Amino acid sequence: MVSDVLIDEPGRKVLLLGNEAVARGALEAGVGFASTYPGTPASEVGDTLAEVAKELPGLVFQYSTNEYVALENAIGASWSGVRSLCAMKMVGMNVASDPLFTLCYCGVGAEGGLVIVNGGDPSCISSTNEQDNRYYGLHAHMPVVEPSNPQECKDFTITAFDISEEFDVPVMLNMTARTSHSLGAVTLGKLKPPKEEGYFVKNWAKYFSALVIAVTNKQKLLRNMNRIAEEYAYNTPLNKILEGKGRIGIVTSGVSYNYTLEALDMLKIYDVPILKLGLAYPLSRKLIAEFAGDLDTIVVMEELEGFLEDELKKIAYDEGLSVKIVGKALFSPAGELSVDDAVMAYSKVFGVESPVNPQELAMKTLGFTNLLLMRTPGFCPGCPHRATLYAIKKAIEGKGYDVVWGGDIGCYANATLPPFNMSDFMVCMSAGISIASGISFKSKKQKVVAFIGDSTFFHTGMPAVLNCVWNNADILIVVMDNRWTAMTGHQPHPGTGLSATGKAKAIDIAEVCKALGVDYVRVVDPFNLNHAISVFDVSCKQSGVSVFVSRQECILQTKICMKEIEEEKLRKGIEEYYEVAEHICIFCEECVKEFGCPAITVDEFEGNKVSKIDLARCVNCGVCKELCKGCAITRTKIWRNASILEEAKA
Amino acid sequence: MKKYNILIAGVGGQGVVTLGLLLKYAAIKEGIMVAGTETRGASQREGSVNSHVRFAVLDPGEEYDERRGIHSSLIPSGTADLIMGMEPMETLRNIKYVSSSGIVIMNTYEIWPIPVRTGEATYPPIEQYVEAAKTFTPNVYQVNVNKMADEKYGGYTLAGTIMLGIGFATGKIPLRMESIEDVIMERLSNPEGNIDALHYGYEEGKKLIGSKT
Repeated sequence: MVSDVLIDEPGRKVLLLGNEAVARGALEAGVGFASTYPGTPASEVGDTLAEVAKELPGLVFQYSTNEYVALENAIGASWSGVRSLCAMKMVGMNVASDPLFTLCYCGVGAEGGLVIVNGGDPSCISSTNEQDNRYYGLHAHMPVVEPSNPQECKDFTITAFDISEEFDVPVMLNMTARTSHSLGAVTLGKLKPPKEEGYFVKNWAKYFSALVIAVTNKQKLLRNMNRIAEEYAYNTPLNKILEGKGRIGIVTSGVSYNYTLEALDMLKIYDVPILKLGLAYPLSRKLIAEFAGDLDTIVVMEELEGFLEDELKKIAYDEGLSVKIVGKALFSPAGELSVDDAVMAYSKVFGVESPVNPQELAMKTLGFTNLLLMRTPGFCPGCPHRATLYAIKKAIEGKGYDVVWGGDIGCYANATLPPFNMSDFMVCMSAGISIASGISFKSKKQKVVAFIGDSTFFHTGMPAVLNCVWNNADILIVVMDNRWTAMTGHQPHPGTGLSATGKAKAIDIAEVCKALGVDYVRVVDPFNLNHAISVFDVSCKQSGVSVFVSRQECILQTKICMKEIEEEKLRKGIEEYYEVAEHICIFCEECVKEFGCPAITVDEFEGNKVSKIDLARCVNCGVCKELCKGCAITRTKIWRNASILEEAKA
Repeated sequence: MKKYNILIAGVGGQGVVTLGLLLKYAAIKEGIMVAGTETRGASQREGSVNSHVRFAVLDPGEEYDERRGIHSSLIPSGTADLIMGMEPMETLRNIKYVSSSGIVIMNTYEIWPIPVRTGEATYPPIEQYVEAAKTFTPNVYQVNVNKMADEKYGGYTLAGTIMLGIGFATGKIPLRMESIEDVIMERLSNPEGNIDALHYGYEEGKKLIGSKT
């Protein structure tokens, strides 16, 4: 919790999430600027610092419009001599990679260490691929620090700032979803007040990266990285060796270190030499050569690609080591690993039988799949996206359109699931528009509709819309504007009218679209269902670029805002609810199957099936009443103690 | 060193994450080593959620040895001492974690997945879930904490806390109830109700475990 992150009692143990521990580490390092574009699993790093920034005047925090803007802002703060942090999920690093490579050439400001927090997502729990960003370290020449638990998340963040300043490079703190979201005890250190005021010291030969300056900078960078590899990486406590004996050793890092120790404990093996690499890049040749010593075999356990395995093999070749190095032959590069994977692999490697057989248990569970129905994620009761998709579906029904649906990143990705099936592809932020635009140029018989969320629109959607206009694509762009960056935890964006710490100018997406040159822009409220249906019908008939903005606040946010009003109503005895008049319901299943609201279930009345509204789940959005073909859904409002007049006044 | 693995399973909204956090905060209070993780993100909405809770307690006079400690935030398969299942289907979905001598408390209150709600599928009978769970451990107990909460407190809000009390009655949670009470006081709304529900669950749990069905 944020309150725990701010406790100023060195030595006290508190329970922190990995991401919160990173934020705490940054505060103990005296971070003065932090930026992020929210993305699971990295979101809580920014969210925690956003809350802290409200109470810590020296810390400037911003939610940025996207990851490269976030990183560039952090670069500016670093170059002003202030410790800076930038957090993003791993695919965000692709967006930020443009400034990243040159940043490594230029380096950081004096006393302006810069740490980039990367949220990796093995198993793609909230992502469209599981890219391994340690390769950015290799490619851009950037040190990669990898913690295993919340305590290390905090401690390593501080070390990362130190490395950054000592060697004049940005440092990547590589997290995975399991590190970010694991909870554990963290012993607090001392909070260091942020530097309130920085100063940009001009240094043209360092910061103006072009031609010979860039090449000179690169040479400096390579020298620094070499120093880290030759000296720092050998001595740093980020790496540690658990001594042991035998001819087989293990090299591992991050969560794989945790899985290794637990698996060996289960197998009762306590004497295998283990090298834990907290500094995953660059590696120390000397350290590896010493660890390899008399070993015949080194087993490398790591998630995703065989990054450490390849680095070790390079070193083994150069140093003439005869040790056999095995990694991805034992551990799959696809999907996240677990203790179970470690148990199975080490049981084979060391010839020790495991007390439990994870494979057998998993197989046994598979025998019960008939009892385990899927709980697919869906739209919440009262979600405006459901109403928008329903309106679109009804507007085009029976009109013979052959529609290509461009999907995008956000809650509305659920459009791809029944009962809508309205996203044919999903790639990355704002790709829905541009891939759909590409389709429109070469597949003219199909109607091309692209979805984009409000936060995604500001992230990278604007150049995509502009490109459609400029090149005259034939596309209908649907903006699913629920007013927040909802899926990652309701962070504000430029349309919300809020910044991380206070009020801000609210930018209207419809106006932006007009300014980008779109002639046909319509805004609807999806809860005004019939209006939305007819406007979409007309929008569909346009050629060229048209934009349909469906605007209604995320119901989860509305519920928070309305809580006090609702409680006040309850106190006054005002009740409002929707119900199905059972004797009228013809059970056409429109509300149950076509609309698919989880608050509507099936019941029986006088031997016939009827729809039923689950009052515990219904949030009174009222859309089902509008769509009910038999007018069987009614709205009831009761004033027990208050008068209608009184309510009207309130 | 003894490791304790406790898994809580259910559907988003049942308080699974909160229960896991209560246990972890209480462990910090007692100075017990703790690790674990909760389901976060999209799956919270209408989806399956679980909370992994792991404790390690040193034997008297034992020194900490990193190689024997708890490190993974996820419970290894076949090692959970206790599963508190807030929903039958979700209990079974996580059943591979229970150890062959572990205890499973299964809340029989069903939460229907979308296809069941729309009448496209049916929810299989509870007995099949109990039977399936029993192929992993003989110690499977059924309760309906939702019904208990509704009858005693007029709503489902405290069902999770009742389950936690029952969990305590199994003896598989190496914490003092008072530590949980302290955490409830500090971090939950309606602390009095929650503490009452905790004790109610504990008393009912003792009867349940004693009467082994």
